[in-house]
Amino acid sequence: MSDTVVDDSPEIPMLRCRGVEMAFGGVPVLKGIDLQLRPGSVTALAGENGAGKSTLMKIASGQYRPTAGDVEVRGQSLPSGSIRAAADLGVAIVPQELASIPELTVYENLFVGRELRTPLRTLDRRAMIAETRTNLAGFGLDVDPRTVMGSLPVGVRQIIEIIKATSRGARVLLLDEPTSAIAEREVARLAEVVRSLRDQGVAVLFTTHKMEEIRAMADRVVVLRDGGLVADADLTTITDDEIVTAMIGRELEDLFPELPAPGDEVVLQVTDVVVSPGAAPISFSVRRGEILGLAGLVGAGRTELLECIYGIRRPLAGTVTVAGSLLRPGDPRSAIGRNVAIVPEDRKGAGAVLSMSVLDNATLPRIAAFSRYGLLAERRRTDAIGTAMSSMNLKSDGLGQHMENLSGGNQQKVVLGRWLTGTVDALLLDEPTRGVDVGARTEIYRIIAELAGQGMAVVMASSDMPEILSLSHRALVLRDHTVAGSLTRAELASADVQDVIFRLASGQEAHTRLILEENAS
Amino acid sequence: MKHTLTTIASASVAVGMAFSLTGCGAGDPNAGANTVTVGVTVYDMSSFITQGREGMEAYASANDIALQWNSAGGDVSTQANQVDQYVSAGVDAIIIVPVQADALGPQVEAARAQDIPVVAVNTSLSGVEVAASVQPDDVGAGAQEATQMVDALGGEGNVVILEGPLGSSPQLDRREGIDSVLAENPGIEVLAHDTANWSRDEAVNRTRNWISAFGDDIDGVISQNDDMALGAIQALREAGIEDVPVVGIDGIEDGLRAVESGELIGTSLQHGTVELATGLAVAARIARGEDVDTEYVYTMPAVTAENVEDAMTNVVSDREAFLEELPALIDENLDAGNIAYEGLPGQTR
Amino acid sequence: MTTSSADVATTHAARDWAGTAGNFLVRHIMIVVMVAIIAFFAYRSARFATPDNLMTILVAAAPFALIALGQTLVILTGGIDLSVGSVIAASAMAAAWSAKNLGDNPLYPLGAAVLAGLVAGALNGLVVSRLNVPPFIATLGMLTLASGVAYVIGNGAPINGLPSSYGVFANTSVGGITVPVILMIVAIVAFAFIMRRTAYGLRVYALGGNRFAAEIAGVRSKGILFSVYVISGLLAGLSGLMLSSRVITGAPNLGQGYELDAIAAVVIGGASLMGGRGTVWGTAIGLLLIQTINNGLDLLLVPAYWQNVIKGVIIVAAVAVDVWAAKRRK
Repeated sequence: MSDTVVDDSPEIPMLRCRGVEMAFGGVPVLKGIDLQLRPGSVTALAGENGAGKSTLMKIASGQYRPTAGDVEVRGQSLPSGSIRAAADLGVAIVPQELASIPELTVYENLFVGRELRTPLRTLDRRAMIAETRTNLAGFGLDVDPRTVMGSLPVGVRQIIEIIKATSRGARVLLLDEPTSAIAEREVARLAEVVRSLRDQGVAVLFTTHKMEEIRAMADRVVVLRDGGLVADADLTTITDDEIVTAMIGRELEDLFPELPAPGDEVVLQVTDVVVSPGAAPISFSVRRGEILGLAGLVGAGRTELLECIYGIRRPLAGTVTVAGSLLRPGDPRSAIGRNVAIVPEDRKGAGAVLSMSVLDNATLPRIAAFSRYGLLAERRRTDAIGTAMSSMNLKSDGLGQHMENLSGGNQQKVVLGRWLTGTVDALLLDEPTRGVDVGARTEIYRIIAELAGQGMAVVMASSDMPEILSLSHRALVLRDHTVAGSLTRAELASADVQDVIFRLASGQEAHTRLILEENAS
Repeated sequence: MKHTLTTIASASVAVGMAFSLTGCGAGDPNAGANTVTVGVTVYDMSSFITQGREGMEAYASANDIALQWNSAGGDVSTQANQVDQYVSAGVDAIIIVPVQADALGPQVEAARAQDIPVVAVNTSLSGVEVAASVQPDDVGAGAQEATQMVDALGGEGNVVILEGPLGSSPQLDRREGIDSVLAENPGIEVLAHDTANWSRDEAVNRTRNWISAFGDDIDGVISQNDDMALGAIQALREAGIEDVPVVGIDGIEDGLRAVESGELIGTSLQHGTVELATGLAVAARIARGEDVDTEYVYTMPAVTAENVEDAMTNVVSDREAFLEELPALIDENLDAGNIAYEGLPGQTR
Repeated sequence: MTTSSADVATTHAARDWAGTAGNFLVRHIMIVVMVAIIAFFAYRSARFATPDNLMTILVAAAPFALIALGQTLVILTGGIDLSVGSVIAASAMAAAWSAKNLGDNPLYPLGAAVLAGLVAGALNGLVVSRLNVPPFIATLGMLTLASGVAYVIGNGAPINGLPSSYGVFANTSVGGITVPVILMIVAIVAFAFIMRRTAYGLRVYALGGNRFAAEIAGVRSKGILFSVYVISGLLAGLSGLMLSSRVITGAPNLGQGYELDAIAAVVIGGASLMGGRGTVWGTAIGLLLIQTINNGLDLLLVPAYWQNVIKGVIIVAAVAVDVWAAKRRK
């Protein structure tokens, strides 16, 4: 570490931003932010996507040079625009896209760049492994240091990244969306790690837009909206509603729309579908206008089930019919032909072709309808897609704009809205609001409800509990690639439903049945 | 094969004893006592080498020689391996048509240590002592084609020169010959000279660009081989330019045809059939202990409209008859002196 | 609702037009580079900017244009076709062999070259799309294989003594323009149209941009992948026929290293080797840039080996300028 003389007394802020302003190409992104982090504190930096959270993080970690204002670390001015200077002063950032090297082992990741050497200047692997083992144990991680990083779950990799930062002497730890990619049970472990760092006097700042995480991990919340700091309060003095109101600039109740009443005709019929070897068959049906929620932990098989229905994946057994016609297993074209639409979870990986324009992305699934003898009918597709996108309230510079230049919410609108140029009978949604900011979320919820109202049968997999509770007519809880339980609309509205779902999802069934029976009676 | 067997039957009785005592040690178990085994390694399979192989085979079957044949595919180290292989197989003589001039020193030394004579054909091996060499006179060929061009232009005019890969020995030697003639003819000016790497395809584009640069100022094209000359002819044709003389070297089939049709004013015949068969004859004579010169020079006969018909007969149209007479021709040539003689009008022994 | 959606469509159309103009500006920087190079040569050589010399450049460009177009499609899918140079040699040898041995009918060499190109392309396509061998490896194998076949056909030597009718493909002129140049122009326009205006073109872009997303949207990725290699092989076959027909010979080393010039043209044209980005017009500009440099340096009598040095520098510099300009635009 650096030889800089520093003072960790609680009076001196670990990190202090004064009047930080930032503009990209003349567009202001941050407007005069004042922020202090004290030693041994955990601060949640909340706000919608685009509020300026990530920019502030990058300025604090020396990646960006602010347009105005300055940053001090433990009383020392941070030379702007230098990651190395920030690191020397003890500031470390764990980015959203993890910076670990998947091909290397855990201990190699931990020591790369500051390797331990033997007297002969060769790598002292034994010492590095031993030190890594001690480090991991200190954070309650039972992982062999020689494990290849890429084989570990994202949540564990993230904690190792945090250990990497703190083992190099970080006193200020910046975590960018630390929970966006990890399973719920891993969030608890992350919270533990963060608390233990706080007790060691580290100042932690993390970004999030999930209320539960703010409560679970932080002791203070700072809310950004449109580049300005709109709230800065101790968590004991602010309510959830006040935080959300600060984030979105309006009331929480407006988040979810009224659900339209479902029809009677069964559209989607899933019969005895076996998703993976050894899993019990799954059967269910969805009626016109009905939204079926799929809840479960990460790895429960929700995505796999949707992929089996759509034909990206071939089920081991079972059939899927849509409006009476059988789908050919393992062939997405058959599903498209029967008016089945899908909005995949991994938008960048599976939903959109980022290098293409909005128009071309929206053309793809309906390409046959927009072409004659292989030639694209330019007018027809421009008109139809223009109409679909304006009904989605898409904010873009026109249909020619490339997807990669759109915000996450607008990308999602394209991936969803592109199906609406033709008839859709069954709509499959996988985590429809992942990475989408709160403002765009309400619009996507409104659109989903509207589409159901138009007569689509909707299946929605989601890890977001409020989405399952407020946007589903019915819900299935999945575990081990099969159905662990199902909940009616009434059950979804009951007070202890979150507990029921968690128990079903985690496999404490005996207790669960009891509760379900109680609820039913 | 039948031929070889009869030879064995007759020859083994007469001289079998003497040869088996000294131990001829050839690799071919079918070879009779009087049979010599010659290992050949060539730089690559080109049309020159393909012709040469036919010539060698014709000479070999008429003179009780067992040929072993390998191509190095343009790779020096492959060629080195092939020479090593011949040395350990204990052949009676080795013919090398080298990939490049300044290589194979250790391999040739190894052959000498085993008393296996090495004959270098077509390209010389510098820095090592070989038993004999059969080399084309590239300097002479360059001078010959330059003279043909100077005569065609009447000593006055502008020429462009297409060359082989820069720094290769035929390019350097042919250039030396060209320059020596042009130095005596100050009326000839060289507008441009550059490589087209022996390739027809490259030459056509390079020449067209020169036509763009100089237009009608180009009075003649001197090309260091026929392929590039044919590329130049195509470029001139495309640009609609007529009556610009082009001259080449090698006498490949298409080159001879171009001489016939008048598109090429002349070429110099480097006849692989004769040159490589001569190399084999020299190697076999050394292996049989006969006296030979150590340096034979293959002087390429000039081919012009007057004698192209005969060249064509030997190279293309009546090849079988030529190959039949070849062994006798080669032996007579070696005795008389001009190893390039093949009965073309204007040629003398 | 009807009125408003029509309005939206109109604004979208207007914006789309603006986007096209923007795309033109994206290409602008390479056009600027091109103009600068042309200006330099025109200033240095009075012979450069003449109709005759323009035709000289186009004639030399034509065989490259065909393989560069095929290469563009392959690169758009995120692949690469290293075999085109050797496929040129193999198809030229096949064409020359058929002309020499089957009889004096131009249909034989045409059929032989097309067949050789299609077979090589189909093998590449099968290995890449069905066996999932990385394109770099698959086409590297084909590079060696096709080169070997070219030597086998000629028994190691060039094929000489072809009938003059063999020159019909490259040396026939229509209105003063030779067949290869016409073929080049037609091919560029046709492929620009296919890539911009047909469902097939859109699918190629989608496949290269994000294969999984394209498959979810119903694109048969294996079929598309197969097709681009077949197209590349076919165009290489035609290119080989044009090259060998021009000089009426079959040379087994014809086209050696041409794949690299074709790849350079595509990359100069702004395509990404990761796939999904690039245009036919960009490739056409990249191609003309390279051919203009070849021609201009010859006109200035720059020695051949120095030409390679200069060409290498210009290729990298042109792409560096493009990357720099792309950053500035953001």
